[in-house]
Amino acid sequence: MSLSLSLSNAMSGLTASARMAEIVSTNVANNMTEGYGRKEVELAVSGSGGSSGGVRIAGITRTEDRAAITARRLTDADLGRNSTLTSALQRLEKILGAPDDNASLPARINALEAALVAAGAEPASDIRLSGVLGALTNVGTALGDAEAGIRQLREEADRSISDQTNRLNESLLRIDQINKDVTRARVTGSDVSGLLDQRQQVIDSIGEILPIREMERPGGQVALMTSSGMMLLDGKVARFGFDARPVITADMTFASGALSGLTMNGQPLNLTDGIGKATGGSLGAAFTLRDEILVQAQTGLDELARDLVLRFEDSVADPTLAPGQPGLFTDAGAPLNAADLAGLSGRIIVNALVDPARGGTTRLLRDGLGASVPGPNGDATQLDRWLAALSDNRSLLSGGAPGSASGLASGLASRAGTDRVSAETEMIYSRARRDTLYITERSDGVNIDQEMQRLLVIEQSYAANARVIQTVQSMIQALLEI
Amino acid sequence: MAMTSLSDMSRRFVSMGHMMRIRADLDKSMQELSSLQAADLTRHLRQDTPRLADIDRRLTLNRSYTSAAREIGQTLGSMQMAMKTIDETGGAVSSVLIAITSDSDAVAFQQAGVAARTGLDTIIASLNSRFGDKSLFSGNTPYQVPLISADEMMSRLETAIAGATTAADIRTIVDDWFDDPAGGFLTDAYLGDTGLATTRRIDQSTAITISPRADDPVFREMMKDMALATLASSNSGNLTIKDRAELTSNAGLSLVSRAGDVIGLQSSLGQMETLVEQAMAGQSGRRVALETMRNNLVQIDPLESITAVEALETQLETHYTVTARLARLSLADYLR
Repeated sequence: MSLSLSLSNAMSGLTASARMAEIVSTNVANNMTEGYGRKEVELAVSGSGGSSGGVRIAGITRTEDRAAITARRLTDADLGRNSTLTSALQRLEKILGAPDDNASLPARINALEAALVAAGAEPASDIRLSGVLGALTNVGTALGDAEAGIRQLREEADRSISDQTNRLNESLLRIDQINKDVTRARVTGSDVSGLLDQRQQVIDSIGEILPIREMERPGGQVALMTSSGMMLLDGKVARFGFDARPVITADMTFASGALSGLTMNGQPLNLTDGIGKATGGSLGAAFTLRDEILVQAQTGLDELARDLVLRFEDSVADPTLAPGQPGLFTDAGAPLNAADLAGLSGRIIVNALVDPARGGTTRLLRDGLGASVPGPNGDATQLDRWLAALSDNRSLLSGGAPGSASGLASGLASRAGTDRVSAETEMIYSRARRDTLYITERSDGVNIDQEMQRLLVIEQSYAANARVIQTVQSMIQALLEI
Repeated sequence: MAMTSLSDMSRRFVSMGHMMRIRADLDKSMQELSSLQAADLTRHLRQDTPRLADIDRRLTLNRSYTSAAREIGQTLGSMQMAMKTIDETGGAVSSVLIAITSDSDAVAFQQAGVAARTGLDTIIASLNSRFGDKSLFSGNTPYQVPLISADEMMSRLETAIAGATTAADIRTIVDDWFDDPAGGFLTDAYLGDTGLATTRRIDQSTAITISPRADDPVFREMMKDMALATLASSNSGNLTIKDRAELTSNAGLSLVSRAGDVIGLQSSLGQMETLVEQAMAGQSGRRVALETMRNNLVQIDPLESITAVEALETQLETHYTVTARLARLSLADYLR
């Protein structure tokens, strides 16, 4: 009977409108949610029965721009890598001595030279000799602080690797779980778009750690692979392992076996650098910091410390020194040990012989460290020798242009500064690329104006369907009154 | 209908991005304006960071050497003043002494003796003079006063010549006392340093030697002459008038011939003073040049900064206006 068909058509119209309103409300509610894909209702004519039918909800489509998402995820990893490197290099530059910093290592070496000049003008003055001692101590402290700073950065990198590994493992497990849920939901016919939103969010969170590619699998599942070809999830979840080392000292490196690398499913990823193909994101950057960049910085600092120790542990700089006797700067009280350079900058300390607080006397700054008999107290010759030792042009152990002690220190600092500026430029570029792709990806997201307009149409449609039902009802009523 | 619309999220993202960028640029320009120096020096200097470090080091050294040179110059100036007194004293005493002959009367002898003794006092006081708390003429032991008092010196000399009968004997004894390394002067009377002369660095490439010291032969000869004249005057019992007159006038002649040597010492000291002045002038000129170079490296043009700040301010205000306007345009508002 066509009247009842009309009724059922109108009913289906009402249902469809109600469902569409629900989708509009979901979109509007998730207007600000990251990773949310705008939902649209697909309508189709329901073809039940001979004549035309009502409306049927063919499905809820979740809009996503696959290409944009994939491209954006790769830039996420790039940005993660560059921002990790940049923030560490910014701190490294401050540690080694930003230009114009009066407390930096180069500035303190300059202050030591100034103190020696002042003492040389009035060698009999105890105050000026104490000034030299103070300046020496400050240089030692600056070296020690720098070494501690680098050590701290390495420990933070190690901790970050551990955190990221845990996050990676947890996220992979969650994605695996969501995969299974999606398959199940599909089978029962329920709406999977909420699950898809969730899955996208979790995958995005891994995107910074590693550059990943998402591949479709049957049943609505996905597989994850790094862009370098490591399979993270494909039915089976890869499990990553890492041993954190809370305390790292200068001599501990990955090569020495003291630091851990990544393992995947129990196997070490790479015996040379600990990370193998898992590079490209913030995880790789942390390894680069811990094992390359910061180790290089530590070595540079230790070579600087060695140069300072040798400038004074020299019979030309101090003829009163006996062979094998440490100079003004010592390696924890002993002369330089050429075989044990790692961490020297943390062990360097002013010779106790010239420090009254440790049983010494500042007189030796004027007479020479090995002078058992006090010399005339107006004699500036030894102070002048030490001044010459600091200005002498020498090269660091690893080579490079020769310079004064202050020049070598500021050379180290300026190289750190240049590296920082390059890293910042890279990061700005990465961020710009990422932002552009993000905007592209998001361009088909929720637009409130659009949703409001749609709501208007839905309202009208609902009203019209209700009107049809009313009319059909009154028609049936008329029939019944016959 | 196919409509390409910019979603709320991406629109918001773009807008926020703009605002953050303008804000960051504005903050940087403000900071540069208030310090007149580039905010991020490493980025501003690029390859020139080592140059800045070198300039800073040289400025530090420049300041230190300028102070050191000034102090040393003041010391030299004080020494010159003492030397002037010594020179004048020598001249005055010598003119009194050479006037004495064997015909001079007792009063003249007495006056000559007083003049010589006063002269010795003055010379010793000058050589013992200090600048601050440091003795000027004791070499590398500035906290040690170089000479004993004139009283003590004369009493030791009188002990030494006791029993001598002729002028020649007295002269020999006094000569030995002053000149022999085991004689009384170098063992008892001179308390300062006997080692190498004092050297002081006034500049990165210049060190001067401050040689005048209380044990210098020139000063010893002058003290010897005045001591001899004093002894001749007081020693009335043992010597003949002729001998005493001879000792006195010879002492006077010796003092006259000493004058040239004193001037020699003064002029070498003067050369050192000139070196110090030249060093200080050089330091001053270099400091100006270094500071100019430094400013050229780190300073930014305030006019550029002000212009940038104004432009950014306008940009930010425009951005705020546009954002507010767009926020008001929402279909939801019109559907009430």
